[in-house]
Amino acid sequence: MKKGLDVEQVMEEVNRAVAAPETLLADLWKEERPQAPNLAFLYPPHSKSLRVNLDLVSRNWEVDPEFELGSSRKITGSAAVAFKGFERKMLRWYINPIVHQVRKFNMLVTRTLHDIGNNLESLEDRVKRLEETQRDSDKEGGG
Amino acid sequence: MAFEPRPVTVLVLAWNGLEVTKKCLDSLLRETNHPDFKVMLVDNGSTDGTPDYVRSLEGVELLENGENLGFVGGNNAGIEATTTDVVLLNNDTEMIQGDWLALMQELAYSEDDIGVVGCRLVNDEGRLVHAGTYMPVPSFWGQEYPGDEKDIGQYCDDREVEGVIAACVYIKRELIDKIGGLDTAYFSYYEDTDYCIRARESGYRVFCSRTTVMHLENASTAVNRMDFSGTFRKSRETFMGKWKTAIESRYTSKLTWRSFISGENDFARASEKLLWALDEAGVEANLAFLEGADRAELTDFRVNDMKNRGSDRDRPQVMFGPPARAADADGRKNVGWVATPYETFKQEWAKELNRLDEVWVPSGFQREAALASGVKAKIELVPFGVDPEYFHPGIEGYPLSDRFTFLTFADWGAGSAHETLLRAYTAEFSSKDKVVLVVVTKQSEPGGQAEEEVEAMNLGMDRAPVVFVVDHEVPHYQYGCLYRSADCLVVAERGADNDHRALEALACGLPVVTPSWGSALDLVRDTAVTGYECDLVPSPEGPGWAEPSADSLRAVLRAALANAEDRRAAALTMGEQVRSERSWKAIASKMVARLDVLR
Repeated sequence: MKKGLDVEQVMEEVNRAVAAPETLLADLWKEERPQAPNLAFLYPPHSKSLRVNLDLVSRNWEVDPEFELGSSRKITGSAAVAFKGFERKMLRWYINPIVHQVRKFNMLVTRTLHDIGNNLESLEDRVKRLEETQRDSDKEGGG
Repeated sequence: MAFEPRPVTVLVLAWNGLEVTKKCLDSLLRETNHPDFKVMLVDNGSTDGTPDYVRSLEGVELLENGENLGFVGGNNAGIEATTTDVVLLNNDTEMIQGDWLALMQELAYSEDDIGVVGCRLVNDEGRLVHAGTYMPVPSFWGQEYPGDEKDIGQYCDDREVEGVIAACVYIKRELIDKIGGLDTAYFSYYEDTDYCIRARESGYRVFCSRTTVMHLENASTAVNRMDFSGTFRKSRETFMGKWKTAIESRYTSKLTWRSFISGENDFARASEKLLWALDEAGVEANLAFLEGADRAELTDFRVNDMKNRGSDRDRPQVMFGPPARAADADGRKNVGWVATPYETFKQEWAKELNRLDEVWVPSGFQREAALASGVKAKIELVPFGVDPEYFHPGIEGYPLSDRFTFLTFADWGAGSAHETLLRAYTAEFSSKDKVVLVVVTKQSEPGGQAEEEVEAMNLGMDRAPVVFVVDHEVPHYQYGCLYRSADCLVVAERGADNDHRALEALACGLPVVTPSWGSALDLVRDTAVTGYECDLVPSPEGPGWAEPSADSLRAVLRAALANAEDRRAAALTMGEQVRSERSWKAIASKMVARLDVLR
């Protein structure tokens, strides 16, 4: 049965967050976000936020330079779209190699993050098994 | 009346496992502060030096059976060798409370008809594994309360139970004289449940004491490499042969319970507790799943057994769910136990509710809403309940040492008024105030919805701290710990079905701040539950619901901090009333009375 997190652990985290909000925020907020003292977001360690973020990374690593062109202008819109298409065509020699590099980098980072995630899970399993073995041998040793 | 200690013999049964026996005897002799007890080790033919060790001890008698007579034969030999009350104690137990024996004896003699007293058992990790037993039907796989939960102070009062296990059990001599020892038809397992039933059949009651003993569980089986499943299966067959018919006949009425019964939602939690209470009240329930039977994953043994009873449309049926699902009820007689989030029930809901034989609503507000919506079916007030074993002031709490803690639960949906709460709180309290707002929340979408929404609010910089606890999977049985770790619960909901958290918090003795609207209105009184003003605004679905006033909320939050002591005292008093009048047991007996009328 899934046991979840104890309230005791949650309250310890809350206590730490209140005691040192800036430290926690530096860990939790994205770098480009402004400092926001006294607001802390406590996610479960590793588990859910890592899985959620990996899922998002996997769905967003691809960069597509051929996105659909549009215009908000009612009358001259079609002309604007045609012009944008022409511009895009003319700049492909410059943009596409860069996009290709970005895609390649994103793909490698995504793959690496997945590897790290998998390694973390197997490490956690290993630690859990070792702890169980240790506990069993303690019990046997102690009676 | 003052407690008068009486002579009692603690029978420690051992079959090898010398190391655990040493710890057991050591703790027993060291910790126990009862003035008139003796210890007898009953040895079932150990070959690991247990008898020699016991002979070397002072104050422990030895009874050697010479061979393994099993749990039953071994204990019976001990019972026959003594003339006093006995405590049957496994050798894989350790005493952690000096007054354990005195408390068990005191409870046994608190009423003439108490014959058997068990106790709370925790394992070596501090998890509560036993606080009484029950026998689910039709599987007859005996189960223990609560099974395996962190010991947070649940089941911490003396209480009558169906059965207890014999790892640590006090038996009065007068009961032994009447019904004898354990039934020798069993070798091991089920003999304790059998004994409790025999005691009850003889007019005695079985209790579980508030005292706690540590139990390592199945050490003998493990040490001696015993065939657990073979022995268990055989004992179960023996037990069913003896008691199946009698146990099945305890049910005096029947119903079909239709709801969301599995998963982590409020309907499922309430259903589980209520089904337990109904089962104990003699109602044989079978289940119909609003979520679909194929999608239902049940973890509770008793409820799972109810699922295995199949379906029966001839029974009265209670549909406990959103009013939009009233049409799902398909029994011979149908009841809808429903609540609207709005000021009224929608017209299409009222139409379906009028097809039912009876409509149960949880509050006076909901009754008015049903009447105003044109519900003509008979309306009965059946309030929501709370489990007093898990929500009371003795539950473990982890409060912050130097700050007043406001606690709130938030869903980031349209029905949540947490934006108003955040604005009111951050406007009212600055970094100089010794307060914190803890927001326990789940994100309906992955990817930082809570962070983005809070960031977009652009709250002022000089504010008291807010801590969002996001997506932590706290087991629901520990929610009492959350309430006990806080100083005030703040309900910030637009919907009218807004009283169940307030009820849980109150049962724990926690003051509550809640909208003066909806079902929670029934709870607003004195200083224990303070209401704040709301306007009525159209919901996205049409009918009106509450829009909390930020100014009123600010004032109420400030007052909660200013009069904290008075409010806590008032909440403790009101909590007592909530635990007795709104326990699931009380709600179940109200339901049984209504079902009797319907039938």
